[in-house]
Amino acid sequence: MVITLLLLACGGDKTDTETTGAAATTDPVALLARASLDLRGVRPTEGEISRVEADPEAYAALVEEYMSDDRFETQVISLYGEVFLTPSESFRVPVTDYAELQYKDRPEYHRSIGEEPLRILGHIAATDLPYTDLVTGDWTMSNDMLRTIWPVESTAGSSGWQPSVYTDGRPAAGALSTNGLWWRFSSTSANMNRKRANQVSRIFLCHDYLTRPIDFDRDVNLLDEEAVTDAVNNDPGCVACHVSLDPIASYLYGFWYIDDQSSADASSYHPERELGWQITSGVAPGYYGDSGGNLTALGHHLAGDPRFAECAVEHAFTRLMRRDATLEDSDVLTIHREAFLGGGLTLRSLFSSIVHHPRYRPVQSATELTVPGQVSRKMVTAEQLSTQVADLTGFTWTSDGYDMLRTDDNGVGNLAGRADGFRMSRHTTAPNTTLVLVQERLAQAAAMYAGQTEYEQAKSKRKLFTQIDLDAPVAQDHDAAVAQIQALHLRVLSHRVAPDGPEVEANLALWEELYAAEENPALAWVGVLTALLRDPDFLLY
Amino acid sequence: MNRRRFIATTAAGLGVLGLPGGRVLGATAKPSDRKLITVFAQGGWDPTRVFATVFEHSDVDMEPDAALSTAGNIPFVDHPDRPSVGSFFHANHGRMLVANGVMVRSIAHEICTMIAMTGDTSGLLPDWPAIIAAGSSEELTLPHLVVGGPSFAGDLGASVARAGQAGQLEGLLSGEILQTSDLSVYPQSRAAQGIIDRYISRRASARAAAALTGADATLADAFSESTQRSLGLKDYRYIMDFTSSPDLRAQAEVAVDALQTGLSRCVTVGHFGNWDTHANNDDDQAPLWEDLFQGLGTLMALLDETPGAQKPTLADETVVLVLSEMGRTPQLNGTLGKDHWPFTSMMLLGPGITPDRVIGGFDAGYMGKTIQHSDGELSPKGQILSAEAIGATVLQLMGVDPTPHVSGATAIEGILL
Repeated sequence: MVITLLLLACGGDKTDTETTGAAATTDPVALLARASLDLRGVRPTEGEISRVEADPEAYAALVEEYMSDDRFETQVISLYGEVFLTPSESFRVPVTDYAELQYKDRPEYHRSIGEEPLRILGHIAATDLPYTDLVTGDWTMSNDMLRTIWPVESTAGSSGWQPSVYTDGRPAAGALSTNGLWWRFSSTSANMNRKRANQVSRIFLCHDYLTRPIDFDRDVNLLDEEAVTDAVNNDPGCVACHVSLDPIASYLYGFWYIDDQSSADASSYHPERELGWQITSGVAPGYYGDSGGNLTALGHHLAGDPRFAECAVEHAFTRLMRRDATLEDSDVLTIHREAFLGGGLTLRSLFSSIVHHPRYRPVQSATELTVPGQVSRKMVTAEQLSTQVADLTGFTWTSDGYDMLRTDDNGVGNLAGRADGFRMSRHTTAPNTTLVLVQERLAQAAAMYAGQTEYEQAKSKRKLFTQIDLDAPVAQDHDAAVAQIQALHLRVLSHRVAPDGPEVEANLALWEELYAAEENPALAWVGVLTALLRDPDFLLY
Repeated sequence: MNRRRFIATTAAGLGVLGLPGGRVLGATAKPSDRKLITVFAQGGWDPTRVFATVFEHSDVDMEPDAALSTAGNIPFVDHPDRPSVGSFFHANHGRMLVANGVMVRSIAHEICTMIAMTGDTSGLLPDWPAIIAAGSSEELTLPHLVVGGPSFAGDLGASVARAGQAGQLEGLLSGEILQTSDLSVYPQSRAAQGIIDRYISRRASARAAAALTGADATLADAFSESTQRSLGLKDYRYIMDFTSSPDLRAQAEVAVDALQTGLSRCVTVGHFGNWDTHANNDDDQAPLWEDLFQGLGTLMALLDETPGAQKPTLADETVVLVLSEMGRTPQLNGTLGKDHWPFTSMMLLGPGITPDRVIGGFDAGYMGKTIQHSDGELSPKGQILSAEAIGATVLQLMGVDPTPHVSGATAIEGILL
């Protein structure tokens, strides 16, 4: 919050200097790799690398291309999963409560529900809609699964994720009107939607009431309902939060479920329950003193709150920098906010501002000039690990339909550092033992899958083993082997290595050792690819 | 004979079984040699079912048929449907301490969990086990193993690993986790895996050595350290089984193995059940408590029968912290449930604490009573018994200075031996 307040007060003089100073020394390929992973979830291609090597100024055009790529939408969905925390395997309504579904449909059921609000954000990003649509839009996103189980119909195409509308007459308020959000964040009779109201504040205003210290007044008899109500309304320690939290909570009674495990009750919005606050908290809907209206009004209040845009900037900055904003970032947050506002509140304008700022640039050598707050290196998320492996090798690790790196009950999402909001509230930002083990097994499977696939293909059709005959020992064509290793480094690690460099030498030695053990050239190449996919620089970028 | 039984060589602690007055500790270990098992009942338990003997408070809904009972100096709530509770108290009061009226400052699961485990609400700081594990004087392969329950690694991630509730860690170590992949792939040979492991180990070390300063160095070091630990873990797979389940007894076996083999100094396990009883509190909490104490009984028996590294049994070297993130309201709601409450109970067992004792308490309003830290006794002018103070006490108990890790609270010196 302090950071937010300081946004308006701090100037950006330092940044001009930063721009000039750092631009001259940044490795354009490392910067491009970072942007590609952040904006598309994949490594840059050889052609893209060549473009920035030839002209570092091509970075700007490539960033634009990345944000026009179909994968930008899915990457936004992936990045903001940590904010919304809606992807889950723990929704209260069991899949089998829907007659149309079977137990085997669980993966798609869970994935679809959890992604609903995130898909709205993804569509906003991909189509340059204003970010305010996230809370004011009169549409949602649905796929075949959601159209089967909920009162929602597509307004565009007939298959896959499409812009849609609910048909149960619920007020229009973007993500605030989605079942996906409120199935994830439920409430109880005693809680009176306060937990949900806090999620509204946390997600859209970057203010989490629960991080405030709570000082229980020991003079208040917590067993006396009237005394508690009185304290909530009059005790300064209670009022500080409840005066703003409770009115927001009262907007959400249309999502009050009598039986939150019943598809019949929880699939639809309940306008007849909107006044439920009258018999619970007794606090009328309102937004920081501005009372009245329904969920649509709440969305418009949020969109008009200056903190909404500032929070959008903070979320984007935190996701792309993979660190929290600090007081020292106040000046750049101001710059990004101005770019966001000036760009029509599109995520593209905001992301562009961040990825062009010197503070975003990786540091590749000790001789480079650095700027305060610059993140010299950061680590991929579990989902980025998954998407870059899939792009490179074609291998997606699923089990019984569950994406192993995006699920936790049977998957390895938590072990790979993925926040789920239950066991972990933030993504891991540094390597740990289980993440390294996940990387290892993923690398083994993916390399073997790529080897199996490309072994059957002509060299010209391959994506990775483009330089060699997979059946030929290195000695048969040493130059091709060297070129192959160079190509793998460029494609997998975004490093251009010299033919006589230590990387090539080490990988040739590895190939020879593997070949000596198995006497199979193709498997030795699979081993080399495995090693590159397990490299520290495959995680750190 | 499973792998756990194979490595648990003798029942060295059996000599104390059946002693009247409950088991007592043998010679206690030095704080820095102590190990920690944290048992976390996630969802918010109702202390009036076991720890909070507040029968005299008319505003508190106690359970029908519950009765006050005592084991040594420790009063507890006994109930005919929960025989394991009484058995546990009678068997272990000589080495346990109950803290009642512990304040967790919030009534939100996530925040209470962070406070109970870290003393902070950011989720960014490491929890007590991670701090203790990272401060180990020994070079351990996996200082903190999380078999179940919450974990906050903070910046100590390289020292912490989760096992996963469905045997994920075991599957990762063996490679068998890939057998369930929907896309079928041939496994790499053991020989090839070994060669690549050695290559990666060298590469990780070289990368760390060549790292720049700042984040690059931090991350490269963490990668290198994690790589070495992951390779070490593969060796451990042949002497212990990381496969667990939501069952506390199964988790207890993994926990004891991890401590006995020297793999870890700290292990966190979880009791999984629907403790969040906003409806049907009496019916739903009862079997959970019975199951929890059955599991705790198994855990203590395993510690008793397992030789310690320096003391006769692992029980002589191991502190067990049993907690839940919050308590539950004293009165039943309209659906016979109980909602969230910011005061709860916790339990400590093992070396270094004054045993056979209850500290703190609940007042007539079912809020925590204040205590003096100097002796742990109730005092109207004392401090509220906070989760942070319990955390600071556990850190000190394990030989870690709590000062840099806990703000606003100090250890309860009066309960430490």
